[in-house]
Amino acid sequence: MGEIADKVMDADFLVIGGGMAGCVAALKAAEAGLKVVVWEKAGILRSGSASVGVRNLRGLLPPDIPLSEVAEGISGGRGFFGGNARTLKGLMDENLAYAGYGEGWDALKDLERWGIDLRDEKGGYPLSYDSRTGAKTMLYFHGGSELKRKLARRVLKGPIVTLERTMALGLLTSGGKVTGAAGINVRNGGFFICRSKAVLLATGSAMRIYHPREGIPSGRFKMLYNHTGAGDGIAMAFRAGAELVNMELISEGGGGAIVTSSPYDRLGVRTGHLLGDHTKAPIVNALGEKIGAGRMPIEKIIEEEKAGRGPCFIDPTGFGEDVHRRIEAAKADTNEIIAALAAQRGLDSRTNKYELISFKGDRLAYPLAGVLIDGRCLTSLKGLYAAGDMMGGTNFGGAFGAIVFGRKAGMAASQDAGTLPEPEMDEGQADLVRDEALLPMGRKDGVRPLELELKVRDIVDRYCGAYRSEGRLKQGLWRLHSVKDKFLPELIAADYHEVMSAQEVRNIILLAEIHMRSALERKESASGNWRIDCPEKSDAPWESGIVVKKDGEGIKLGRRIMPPLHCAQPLRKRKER
Amino acid sequence: MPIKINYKLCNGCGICYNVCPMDCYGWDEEKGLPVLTHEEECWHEGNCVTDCPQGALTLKYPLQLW
Repeated sequence: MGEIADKVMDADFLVIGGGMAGCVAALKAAEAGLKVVVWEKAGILRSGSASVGVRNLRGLLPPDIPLSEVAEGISGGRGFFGGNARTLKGLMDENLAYAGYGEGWDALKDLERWGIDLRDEKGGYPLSYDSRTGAKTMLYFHGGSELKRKLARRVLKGPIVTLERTMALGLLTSGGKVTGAAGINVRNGGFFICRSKAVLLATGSAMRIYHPREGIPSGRFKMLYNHTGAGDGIAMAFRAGAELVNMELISEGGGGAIVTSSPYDRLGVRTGHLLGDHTKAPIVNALGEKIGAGRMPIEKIIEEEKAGRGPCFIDPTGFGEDVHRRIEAAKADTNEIIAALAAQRGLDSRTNKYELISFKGDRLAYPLAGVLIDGRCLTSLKGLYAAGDMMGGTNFGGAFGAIVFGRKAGMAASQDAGTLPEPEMDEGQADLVRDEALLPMGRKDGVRPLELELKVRDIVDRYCGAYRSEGRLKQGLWRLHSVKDKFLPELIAADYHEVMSAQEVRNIILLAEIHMRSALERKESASGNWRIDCPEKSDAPWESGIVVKKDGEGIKLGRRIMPPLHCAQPLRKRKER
Repeated sequence: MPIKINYKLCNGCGICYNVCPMDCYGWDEEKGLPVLTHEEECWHEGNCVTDCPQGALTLKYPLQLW
């Protein structure tokens, strides 16, 4: 093994992806005495979706609300989850969200122990309304731009071993169990193998199967999401044989519909924070007529557009002073650069209207679409865990989801490490993974990874996206296959950076195919999946999730009802605060 | 060119090279200074600009996003 790799490492717990979930999991497992190795594709201080900062933590249960009320809300698809949860019943493992609410304060306590104190100047945790659900479960805090960096510094202190600019290329398995991973340094090509009893995937959602909202295909990476998110972990999990779920669903805007403000005019604020019921954000059309406030169905916006009264806007002049202040605090804490750029253009968040532009799909619905996990973050493969926005089957996501579930994964691995066998490894597997990844470097003429990525995004944008039909999806899949067959074997890479990009494209193509195949299977119309050929909108909950698994070299689709809430084992009583 | 490096101010500390999530920066070993090698992949999140202790970096709002 030492002959093919520049370095072979041994670990109890290999964490792939050093974002929020990965950092928390690594710290938790290291505290339990595990030998932890972290691989991060970028630089850990500024990696992951939280790299630019975190505005808030969503999903903290107010101390005066009993868990029984949460349980009722989750089972009834109301309260803490808003209207959408009703249609998503059967697609979400309700126990995951319940556990998220139940363990939130413990996770905050861990952060405090690690030197990350999110209390306000009075020493309290003032909870605010969640725009999505209307429940008072959102913690706004200062210092959000430091949160991820503080966690990362803690990880770098050791004894955790951290390898930066190291991309995992593939998981290694033996007898149906994951035994480690093979990876590459994306600057110098150093090839690594890590044998590990437990492996965590925490590489975020697949942002790059769609064009950005900006809708500038030539703009390559010019979007305001974390663009390292090529869905590497989801693709690796699939290739290793793990089950994925809900891969047809795309993310919604903050208003409960696929509508969002133009990133050009975002001024460093997310639409979701503006469109909540609590802000009563006025929505106006191009004639200046008020057409609603707060959450608004997408149909209403489209109606205005069709009638020639578009575009529509959020009008911030109607906000209360408290909303303005919160927006300004959020700008100061995160996405500093966006606020600075808005200032370059002379835009003022108090007066400039937010244009609502996007009715397009721009990313998978995280963490609904992703790797299927159980209540302990264990995937369908022994030894393999998943956490953060690449999880599938819950809506407890974002920064706080990553913290809570990263923590769970770290604890699960710590519990399991004692019973998991020493990893056995087949040398040929790692060899194959490396050879396949390096193929583009050996070619002279061909297509560059970015060209191919843009073409794939074109196809997914045009034939899948927010509005789908059987005919379009079939045509899109035909085009995707034809592009894949012709150009994947022609990928070239000039350096190791492009070896990374080429590997990302392979992952993007795989996930695009799974996304469109799942969309073809899903014939219901509801949020996250609009079938224009099956327009009947039903109030009845969707019955089951679409589960995807590798079948030989193909993709096998099946249906499964995600577990409803079973409170047979109640969570332990929350500590009073 | 969204990012500009002012080499009069840059002291070669390497923070930009270390933090850029997209690995847009390369390193000139001879001069001990950062260079832009994959600038077309910049996603304008501005980590390098906010983290530069010398104020040697500027990010221009890209035309495409205007």
